[in-house]
Amino acid sequence: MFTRISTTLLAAALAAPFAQAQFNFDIDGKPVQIHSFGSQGFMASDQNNYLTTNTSKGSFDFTDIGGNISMRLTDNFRIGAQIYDREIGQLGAWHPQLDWAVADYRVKDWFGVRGGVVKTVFGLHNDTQDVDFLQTYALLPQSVYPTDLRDALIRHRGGDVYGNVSLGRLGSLAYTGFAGLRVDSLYGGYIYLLHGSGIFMNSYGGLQYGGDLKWTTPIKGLVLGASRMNEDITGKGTYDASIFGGPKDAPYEEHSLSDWANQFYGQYSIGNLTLEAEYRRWYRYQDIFNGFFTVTTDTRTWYADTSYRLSKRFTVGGYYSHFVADWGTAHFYPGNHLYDKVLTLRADLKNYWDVKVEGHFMNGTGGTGIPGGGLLYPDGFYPFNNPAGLKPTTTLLVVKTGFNF
Amino acid sequence: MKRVYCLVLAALAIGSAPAWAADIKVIANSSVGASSVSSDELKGVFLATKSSLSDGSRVEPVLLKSGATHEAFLKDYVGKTESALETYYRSLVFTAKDRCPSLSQATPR
Repeated sequence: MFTRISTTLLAAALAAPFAQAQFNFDIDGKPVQIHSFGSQGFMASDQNNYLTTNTSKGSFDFTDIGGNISMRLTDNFRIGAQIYDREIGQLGAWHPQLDWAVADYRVKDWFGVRGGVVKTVFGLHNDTQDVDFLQTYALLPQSVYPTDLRDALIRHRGGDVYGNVSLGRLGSLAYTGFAGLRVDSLYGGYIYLLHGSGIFMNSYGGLQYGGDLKWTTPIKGLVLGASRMNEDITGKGTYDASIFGGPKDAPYEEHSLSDWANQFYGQYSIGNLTLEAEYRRWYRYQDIFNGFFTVTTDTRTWYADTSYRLSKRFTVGGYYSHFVADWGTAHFYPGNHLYDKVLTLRADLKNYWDVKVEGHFMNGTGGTGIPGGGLLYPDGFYPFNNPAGLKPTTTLLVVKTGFNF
Repeated sequence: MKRVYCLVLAALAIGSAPAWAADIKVIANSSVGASSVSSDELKGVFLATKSSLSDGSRVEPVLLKSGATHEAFLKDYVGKTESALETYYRSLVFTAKDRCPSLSQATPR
C-alpha cells in the first residue's frame, strides 16, 4: 500500500523536470509529443463500502496511470496512442487498456475524420473523465459519469466524423458523429455486479453509434449541447445453474432489444467561476438469461455543479448529483436512487501536481435493487462488498493527488 | 505547403480587433495574405478549432509564456483564463483531439 503511494509520489517528483521542459522532440522532422498522468487516492466511508473497495476501513485502492505519444505527419494528419491502467478495488484490476489509438485527418476546419480506437465525445466530460488533473473533483458526478461503468461509453473501435462550423453572429457549432464497436473490459462494474448472481461474462459489447452537438453561443462563456447514442449489445459467458440441477458453467447470453442514451448539457464560465449542469437518460430493454426473461431499466440522472478558482493555487467546488436507477420504480427505495452532495477543495501545488480533498454525503445505494426485486444497475455500491447489508446513507472522504506532464 | 505562425506581442491593435484592446498586437509570418483577422477567427485559431484564415493561409498558434499581455490577450480574445486555457489544451492532448501549441520565448516590449 505505502509502496504504491511512494511510487506515485516518486513518479510525480520525476515528472517535474519533464513538466518544465515539455517533452517534445522530432523524428525525421516530424514533431512528436509524449505526455502522461497518474493519480493516487484514499477513500474512507462511515458505513458502506464504496466502489468495490473496503472504504469503511479506509482504502488506498484508488490508483490510475496513463501515457500517450502523438506525432504529426503532415499539417492535417496526426497519429497517436494512449495506454491506461487503473485499480479501484475490483475495477480495472491492473489490466492495461489501449485507451485510444487514432489516425486523424482534418480535411477542413469544418470536416475531419479519425479512426482506430477512439475516445467517445459525449457530453462535457465523457472523453476526459479518466484524466484526473483536468477535473476539479476527485470523483466526477457519479450519476452521469459512473466510474464503475466507464467502459460503457468511454471509447469505440471505429471512427468519427467531426468539425467546427461558424454560425456567424450565432457563435459556432462543433459536431461529432461516431460509429464502432463497444468492447467492455471484464473488470468493469456491470460485469462485477453479475458475479453476485453467479454470472461470469467472457465478452460484452457490440455496435455503438451516435453523435454530439456542442453550440458555443454568442453569449460569452456559455456552451450548450446534446448527445445521442444507440447500441446493440451482446454479453456471453456462463452461469451457475446448479441450483436448478444444471452444470455450474451453463452457457449464458444476454442481448439488448433497445438500448439508447440521450444527454443534454450546459456550461457557463465567467472569470474564475464555472457553472455546469448535465442530464442523461439511458434506456435499456434487454433479453437476459438466454432469452427466458426481459428486463427494462430506464435510468435518469442529472447534476448541477459550481466551481470557483480562488487563486492560482486553490479552487473550491460543489455539486449535487441525482441518480435514479429505474424511473418507473418507486424512487424512495435506497436501492433505486443515489443523491450525492459534494464539496471539494483542490490545491494546485505545481502546474503538474495537484491535491484534492473531497466530502460526499450520499443518500441511497444506487441501483442495488428494491425489496422483492433484482439488482438494477450499479452506481458505486455492491451488495457482496457489503455482506452485513447496505445502509441507506454514506458519508465518504476522498483525498487524491495527481501528476501530469 | 504554406505554414505560418501567429504570435502575440504587446504593441498596437490590428484589423477588426476591438478598440478597447489597443495594447495587443497579433504578429504573423509575412507570407500570410490576410490583412486583418476577426476576433472570432483569432479565438478559433487559439482554441484549435480553426487552422486557416479567410485567405486560406494556414496558421498555428504560438503563445507567450506568461505576463500581463498574455493574460489580457487570453481574457479579451480567447475568453479563457490562463489556467482554463491550459486545462483546455491538455484535454485536447489527452483525448487525441490535438497537440499542445508552442510557447514563445519572446517577451512583451
